[in-house]
Amino acid sequence: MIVTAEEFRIMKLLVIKDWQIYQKQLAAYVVGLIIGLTLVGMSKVWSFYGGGLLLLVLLICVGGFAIQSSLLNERKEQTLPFVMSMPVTPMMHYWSKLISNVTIYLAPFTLVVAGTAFVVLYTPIPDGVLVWAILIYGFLAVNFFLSLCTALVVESEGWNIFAQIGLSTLISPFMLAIGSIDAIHSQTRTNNVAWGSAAVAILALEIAVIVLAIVITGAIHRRKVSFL
Amino acid sequence: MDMETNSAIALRGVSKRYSDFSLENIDLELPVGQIMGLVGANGAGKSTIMRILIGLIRADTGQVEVCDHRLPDDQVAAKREIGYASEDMRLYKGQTLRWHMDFVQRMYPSWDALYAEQLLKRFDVPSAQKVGGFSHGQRVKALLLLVLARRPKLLLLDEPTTGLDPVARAEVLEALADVLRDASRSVLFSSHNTMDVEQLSDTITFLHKGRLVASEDKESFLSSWRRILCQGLWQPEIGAMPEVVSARNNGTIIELKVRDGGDVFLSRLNQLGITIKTVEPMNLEDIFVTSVRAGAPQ
Amino acid sequence: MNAPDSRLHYMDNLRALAMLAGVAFHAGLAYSILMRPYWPTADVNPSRIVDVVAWFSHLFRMPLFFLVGGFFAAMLVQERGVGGMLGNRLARILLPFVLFWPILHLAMGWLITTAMTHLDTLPPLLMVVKKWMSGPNAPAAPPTLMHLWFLPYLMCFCILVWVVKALEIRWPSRADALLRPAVLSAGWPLLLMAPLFAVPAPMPAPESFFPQWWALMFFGLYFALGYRLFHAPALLDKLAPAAPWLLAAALLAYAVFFELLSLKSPPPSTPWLQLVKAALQAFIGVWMTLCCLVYGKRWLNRGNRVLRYVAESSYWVYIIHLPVLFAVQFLVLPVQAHWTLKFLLSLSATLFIALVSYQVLVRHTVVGRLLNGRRGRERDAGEVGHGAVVQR
Repeated sequence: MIVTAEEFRIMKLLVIKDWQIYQKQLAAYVVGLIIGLTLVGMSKVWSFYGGGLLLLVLLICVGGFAIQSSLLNERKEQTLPFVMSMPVTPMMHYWSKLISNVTIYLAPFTLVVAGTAFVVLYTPIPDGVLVWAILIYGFLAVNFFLSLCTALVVESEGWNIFAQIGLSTLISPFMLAIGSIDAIHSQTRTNNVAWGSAAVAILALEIAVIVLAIVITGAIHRRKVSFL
Repeated sequence: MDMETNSAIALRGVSKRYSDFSLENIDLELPVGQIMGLVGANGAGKSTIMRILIGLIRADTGQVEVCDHRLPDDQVAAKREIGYASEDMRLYKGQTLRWHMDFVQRMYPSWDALYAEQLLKRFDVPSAQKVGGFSHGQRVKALLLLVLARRPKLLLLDEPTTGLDPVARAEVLEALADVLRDASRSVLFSSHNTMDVEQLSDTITFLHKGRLVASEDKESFLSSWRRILCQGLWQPEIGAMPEVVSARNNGTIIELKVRDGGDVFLSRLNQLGITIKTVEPMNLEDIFVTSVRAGAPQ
Repeated sequence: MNAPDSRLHYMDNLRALAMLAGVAFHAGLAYSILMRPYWPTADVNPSRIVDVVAWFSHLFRMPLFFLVGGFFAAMLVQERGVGGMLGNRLARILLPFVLFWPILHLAMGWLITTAMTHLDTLPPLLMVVKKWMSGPNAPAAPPTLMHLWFLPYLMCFCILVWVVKALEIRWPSRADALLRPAVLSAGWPLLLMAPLFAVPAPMPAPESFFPQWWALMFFGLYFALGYRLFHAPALLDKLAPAAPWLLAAALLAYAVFFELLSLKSPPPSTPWLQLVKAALQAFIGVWMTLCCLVYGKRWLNRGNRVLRYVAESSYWVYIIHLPVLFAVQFLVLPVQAHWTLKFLLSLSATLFIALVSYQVLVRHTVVGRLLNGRRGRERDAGEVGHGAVVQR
């Protein structure tokens, strides 16, 4: 896709607009993130687990609420015609939504993954846990992208909520499933960060699902005939 | 200059089908600098035409051209020239009008900040208040402000005066009348209030159940329609006359609504033994209702 | 007077002074008795004088810095809006941190290992590290923020400014009544006691990559005061008459505090003792910070070329000073000389190298723009600032 400077400028405006609409919740999440990281940093057992849990909950919420506020609400509250009557193509709208949501999500995602890596590598926790943790974070990212892509093309709020909840319920089965793969499970007791073929395959699959979801929804969006 | 550059809007053979409604084979042209009123009952297809013109929905068939830009391929260029406000459009309720003004200003280089401030004063809308707390009238005025301050070449206003109290309605109509002084500005606006349309438009288009019933300039519209009250015996020949669009009789009193009923028509009535009591012009509402009831093709 | 003099020179200069004092502080730690077990370049002949001066400055140097940071954040918000402030802070604080931290981390690691292999007599800390690293399965030590810790904290506070604005939390106008000299110097330190109580005295540097609650609260309160001070410019003038008294009280309190640190025979640590130490640190910190502001405004509110150059170079000097300082101090470690000589030598060599590198590598290059923003014509018009971290 070739983007002209003017198209880029408009898309930037749309992205910033989404952040501004979302900024109250975003501000609350930032506070949550700081508290979570601080708790983890207090190096007490209770605060470590409390902070870790807070960060994970935030990670799951931040994506869900971003999608809710920037996509579902825009349709429900009839602000979509306001935006789409501006000099915007459906694809510019699509990319700006993707960018605004993904950045909102990636900020806490990166922090949480980096924090996990830091804790795993510099505490007595076996370093091998890192591979297992990254696969789970990867799955969380897959969930987010699938929810986001659903919201981009499916207009019904019911189906969107169904998709989000349905995907969330898969998290613990996924954790159990990769725990049962011996090549990954046995690694979690060693101090080596080793990417075995099973782990690489799962990570590749996760990335492939994300890319595929983006490509497919992009194609659907291009053919969309109504923005109401 | 070829003919193309003289149309703000050109629809050719445009159709859009839904399960419960369809817009059929619409041909419509709005010359640059003209104000067209789109009149029709709810569900006539006014909003659908507007949404097709702004690219919110895509027509199934036909050609859509706005300000010489073909939709949907050239929609960005087209939308830059169009100011669209509709009754069912909402602003971001958690943000202030000022925020919206800043946003629109960044979107459109043509934004006239001075004019925006003037409109703000004139409409008396609170720019620092969140839009969510606005009354319906304030919301409409806010939307219009955002659209007008961009000074677009074409205004598409879908039911701009619907649901407004008389004061707000007068303010909105006044502001529109001001805008319309600019001869290069074209406007298509819809309303089921025929008085507004009569007040503002150069051209009037009637829509009914997804079809174009009539489209003409206002003067010829108003001057070609007459309500004739006469006395005499009802004869089927009267109803069959091509000029007669509607006829009612009550005893010997006959009420005719006619189009292009000149002196020749009146003398033919006389020949049938009918005495003409009064000939009076009709208002737009009457014309509209009559046309729609008769299903009169153009 | 014209535009340049309407600038807040004393804030620029105080900030530069705080940074340069940091360089001197780190240079001095090599000769501190208290830090001897913990400091990589600890010298064999430490001096009590170093401790007296160093820990005194330590109690208000960074507090003052964060107060100035809050002040400039408020100024940026007023001039460019919250978004503009955040954009500016991201470019001036976060980006330099992201770029320089890895380089400094590698440089410090290399310096320490090189020192451990080449020095005949190792400082106590390096001896411990060496022994630890030679053990089997030595776990890697977690990387720290090092002396750049103030950058993430400053960034965090600027983000919190946005959070406060986004959540529409407003400073209640009645609370302005609290901005009185008496409340500030007697009441406000009480708030600071809580975070100080949680850490050993003298307060450590929060170098962990995870935010430390005590540091967020302690430095955050200073940042918030600075932010508020921008909107209450008359406060400093009201404080001025009290400044000599505050200074005297702070010196007196410090005498007690230093006695409690009691380098030779520390009293057994009890909660009460910790509370007293926290209180002393809190009060000394606040009083001295306020004194610095009052005297800074009186004596440093000028902008000549030298001061401006110092202000502009201080950010760079501070960022790179530690590896340079360590390199110099490792070199002079085996030299038999009085500590004053070694201190002055290492400090001046560090400043010299840092300033030369600033002139050659930074001032007129992309690095300079990264750290200080655009220089040139606008700056003279008082529009765009120079100098360092909290700079406009």
